[in-house]
Amino acid sequence: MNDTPRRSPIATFLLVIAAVIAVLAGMWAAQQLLQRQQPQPVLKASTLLPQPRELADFALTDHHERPFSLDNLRGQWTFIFFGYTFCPDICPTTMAVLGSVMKRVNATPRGTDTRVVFVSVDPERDTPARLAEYVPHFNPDFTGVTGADAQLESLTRQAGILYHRNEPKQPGGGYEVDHSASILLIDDRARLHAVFSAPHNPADMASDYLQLRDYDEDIR
Amino acid sequence: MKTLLNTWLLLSGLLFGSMAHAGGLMADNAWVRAAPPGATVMAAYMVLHNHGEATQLTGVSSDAFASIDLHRTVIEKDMARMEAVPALDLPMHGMVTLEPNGLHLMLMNPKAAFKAGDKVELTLQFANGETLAVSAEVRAGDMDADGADPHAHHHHPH
Repeated sequence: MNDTPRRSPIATFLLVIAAVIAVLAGMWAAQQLLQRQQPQPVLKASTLLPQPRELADFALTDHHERPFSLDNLRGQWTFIFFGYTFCPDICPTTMAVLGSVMKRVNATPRGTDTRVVFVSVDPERDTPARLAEYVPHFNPDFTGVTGADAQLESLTRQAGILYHRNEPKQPGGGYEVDHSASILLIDDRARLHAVFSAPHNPADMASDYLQLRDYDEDIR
Repeated sequence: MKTLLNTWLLLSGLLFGSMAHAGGLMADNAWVRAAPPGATVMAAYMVLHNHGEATQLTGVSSDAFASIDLHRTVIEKDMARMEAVPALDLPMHGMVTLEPNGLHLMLMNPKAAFKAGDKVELTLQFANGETLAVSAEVRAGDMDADGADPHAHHHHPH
């Protein structure tokens, strides 16, 4: 018959309340963590930006001679790559790669809001008319875009894209343009979302893209 | 007898038709990517086999183009550029592949418009004095969904 100390009823009541609050808080925290930690996709061909990067406006022209600006990137997901029409090898090859990617994407519902844009970084030779000859040859669904250097740079600089026109080998002759090989993914809110670096494997690119779309849907 | 000879010739033609060879040098799977209307440059690709002593590819010419240079696409730190390759080493009993985003022949100023299915006749010159006539097929250059060339003839050197 030992005497045990007896808590006051108020203290017991407060302890119970505290315990209940602790449990509820724990449950809320766990739910928050779970929501933010949807498993990130395992990507084979691309890098997902830690946070999508908002882009500032730019004023370019498409191959139909219509204005092409940031607004044109809203509402669908866009693969953008950079090059020039006098490029014999990598630019046509990238056109073929993206054609192959789109074949896979178009076999899924994501095809309805995915498109491809080719930006020429050689405005001297690549007029909208020239792009209208060039781009549809590879794929009638692709859009060609160009503009003066100042306007090109307002897009390329914020996307980490570089280009450089070399001197012609002969005076007045043809010249080559060095340019970034990356393919950018812009989301439907016109934000830089992911980057696909060379070498570009169409199957891996398509698989990454479809995973990125699913992941984006999960965390919206 | 004549029929047998004709049959043999036909079969040989079919078997070896996609390959060109002269001396120790052979080219196979030679193709040119079809270019859009108004294009002034096209690219040609092929696999070169050297069954003889080491030599070099030093020049390529064609009646169909004003000039032809050998280039290599180089992608370094995400930047793509082209390097001129004045002479291409062909090791003894070796193989060198010209393929998209790598070594390629830059065919400049076509004298006619080419479309998929046409043939482009090229003459390759080598340091050892040999020349090789190569007939390259113009192809759309599409890839299948896995990035493979659906038209590639896979040649295994023996």
